[in-house]
Amino acid sequence: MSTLFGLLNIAQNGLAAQTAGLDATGQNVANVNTPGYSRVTANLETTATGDTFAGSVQVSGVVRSFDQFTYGSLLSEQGQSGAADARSQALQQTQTIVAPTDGTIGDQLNTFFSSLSALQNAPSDPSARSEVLSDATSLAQSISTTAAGLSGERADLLTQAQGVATQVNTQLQQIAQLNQQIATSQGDAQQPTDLLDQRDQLASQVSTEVGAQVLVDSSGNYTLLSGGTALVSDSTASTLAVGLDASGNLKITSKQGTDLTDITSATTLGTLGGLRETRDTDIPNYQSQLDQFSYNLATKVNSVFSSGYGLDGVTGRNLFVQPATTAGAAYAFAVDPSVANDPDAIAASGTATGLPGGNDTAVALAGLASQALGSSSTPSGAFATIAASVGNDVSSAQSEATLRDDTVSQAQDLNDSASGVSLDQEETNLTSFQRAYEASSQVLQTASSLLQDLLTIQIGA
Amino acid sequence: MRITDGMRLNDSLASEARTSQQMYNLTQEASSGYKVNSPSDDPAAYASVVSLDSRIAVLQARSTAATDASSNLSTADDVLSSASNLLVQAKQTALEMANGTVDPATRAAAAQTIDGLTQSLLSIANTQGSNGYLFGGTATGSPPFDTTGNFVGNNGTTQIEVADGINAQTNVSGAAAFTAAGGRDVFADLQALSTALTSNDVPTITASIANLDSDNTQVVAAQVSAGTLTDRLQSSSTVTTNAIADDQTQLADTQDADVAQVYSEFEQSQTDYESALSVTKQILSLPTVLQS
Repeated sequence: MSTLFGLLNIAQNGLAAQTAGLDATGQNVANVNTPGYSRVTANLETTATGDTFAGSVQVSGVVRSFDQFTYGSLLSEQGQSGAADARSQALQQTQTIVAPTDGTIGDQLNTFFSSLSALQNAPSDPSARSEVLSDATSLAQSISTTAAGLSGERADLLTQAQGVATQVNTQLQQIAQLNQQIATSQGDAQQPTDLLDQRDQLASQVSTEVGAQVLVDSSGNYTLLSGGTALVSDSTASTLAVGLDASGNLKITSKQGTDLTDITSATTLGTLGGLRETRDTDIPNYQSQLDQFSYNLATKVNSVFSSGYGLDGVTGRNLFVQPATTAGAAYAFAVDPSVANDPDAIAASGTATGLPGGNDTAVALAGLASQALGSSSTPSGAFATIAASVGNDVSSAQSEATLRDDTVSQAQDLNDSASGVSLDQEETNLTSFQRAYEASSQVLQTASSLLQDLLTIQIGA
Repeated sequence: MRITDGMRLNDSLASEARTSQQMYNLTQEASSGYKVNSPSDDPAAYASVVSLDSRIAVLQARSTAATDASSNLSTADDVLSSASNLLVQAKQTALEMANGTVDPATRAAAAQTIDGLTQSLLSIANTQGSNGYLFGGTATGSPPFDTTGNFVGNNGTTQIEVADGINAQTNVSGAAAFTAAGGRDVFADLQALSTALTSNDVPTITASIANLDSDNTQVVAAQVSAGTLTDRLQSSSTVTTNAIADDQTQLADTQDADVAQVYSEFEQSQTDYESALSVTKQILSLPTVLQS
């Protein structure tokens, strides 16, 4: 049975419902540029009274548009992209160490062999000898500086990785706290959309840094996994720590309560994964190539040099300190102390009787410039191989970073398509709610004026 | 698919960033003049640039060494030619003095001439080049002939590398030119002539004519060998210079930016960039529901 007072009530509910719609629209428009914001919708429904005439409208809740699937694929792409970006940047740094624009090891080799060539014609000339000695010293410095640069880069990457871990720990803490707040408001009709958005946004940052996967079960239990290890379980967060293992490689651990898990080998994604690959796979590869090169060069030059005689008649000296092993040969590369500071010690003559004009050793040393070193056809070629292997890695890392950027923006688009704000849509909704609100006020006014009429009649009678 | 404002803007920003990056790379190429600035630009090309650089450095060093060495050899060639002239003069004197009509006093005076020629020849045999004494073998640090013409040098040779694994000799043997090692001891022959002239020993004077001929032949042979070695070094220097030119062409092909291409690619990216910008502008000014 419908009444005028019922109509008043319906109009009032209508106003409230349209206001909720306008509210949601306003919120969406205000957050159009907020990263991680998910569009909200006021869910309206008819109040069910069982009476055909008593039905009104009510707001059953404000919910956010969120697609767990597109969000999950965004997280996984972000993890891949984080790794590719970090590796690409770290490798570019490394490339400038191995192959700077000027004064590469290759350039120094050229100068060294050119001065040996000049020594052929002037085996007893002090200035030609000093030239050879100073060029040998520059070459040695350039090799050892490059080796030091690579070690330094590894140290820098450790610091960076520790910085990433610190940041991730803060984010994991925040996610755990948000989970607690979300759990408290679980019973409310109102969905805590802002908390959920914040949590998703944080998880996406964590994914860029270490790679993350988020699981939410039907009863709302939340788990954030990285490489198969839970970093957040509901309101408990793990703490990441980055240190070094016995062989000097990164050791990444996750600690939850008293449980310590080594997640090093599972950390392949995110900035941390990219840094780890560069630091513990790429750079050691260049280091061992450079060590091999240095060992071969020192051994080859020494084998010729030590058979010759210095101007002082002494034989058997090495030009470069002979490395005992390949490992560390590059860092230790230096002119032998028995020759350093003594140009007369440069061996040019192959025999004692050939002094001072004999130049067979100088000829043999200059000839090394065009002889095979290791598996390369020349010493410069051996350096070129190292530089090219860095170059190949940088170039493929850059392509991968570009590719990953593209896939992230595709995943972002898909996610936006589900959760993002479209101003056109909001404006249409705005107009629609506005009209409905106006109409409801009209209904209210009509009901009120009818009641007024009714009251006037009674007074008149 | 539902398209949101964020998606539209992100996409156009991404394409702007891409073209900006392209333009940046091209600017770098144009300003450095090289298309390979670091190994990652083109690892294979970088490796050939390093190898070509080193090849060119080796060849240039060889060319310089060959030029230096050939200048010493051509000095040797010149002075040996003078030595030969001196020996011809000595032979002339011997011929004149072997004549029976010459009186002993004239012969004694001629001995002075021969002694003077010997001194000149000695200074020739002790000529220095840019790397010490030319005719002392590897004993370049001290005069190879003492004041009486005794050889104190050695017969060592010096060489330089002129091509991969191929060496060329850079000195001529003073021992072969002037001492018994080459056949006759030139200074001993001159000394014998001088003594014979002083002592008026006509048969010895006559005998010395043939000896001086042999001496001259010996010196000329050394001179010819200096000339041959000089030629060899010079021709190898020419070959090396040509090889340098070839390698430099190849290096330029590998390393240098093609300016015309860079320019047209830059134009292209500029057009791309402008269209990306204008699309962004359009997106920003799309009529909205409220405005229309």
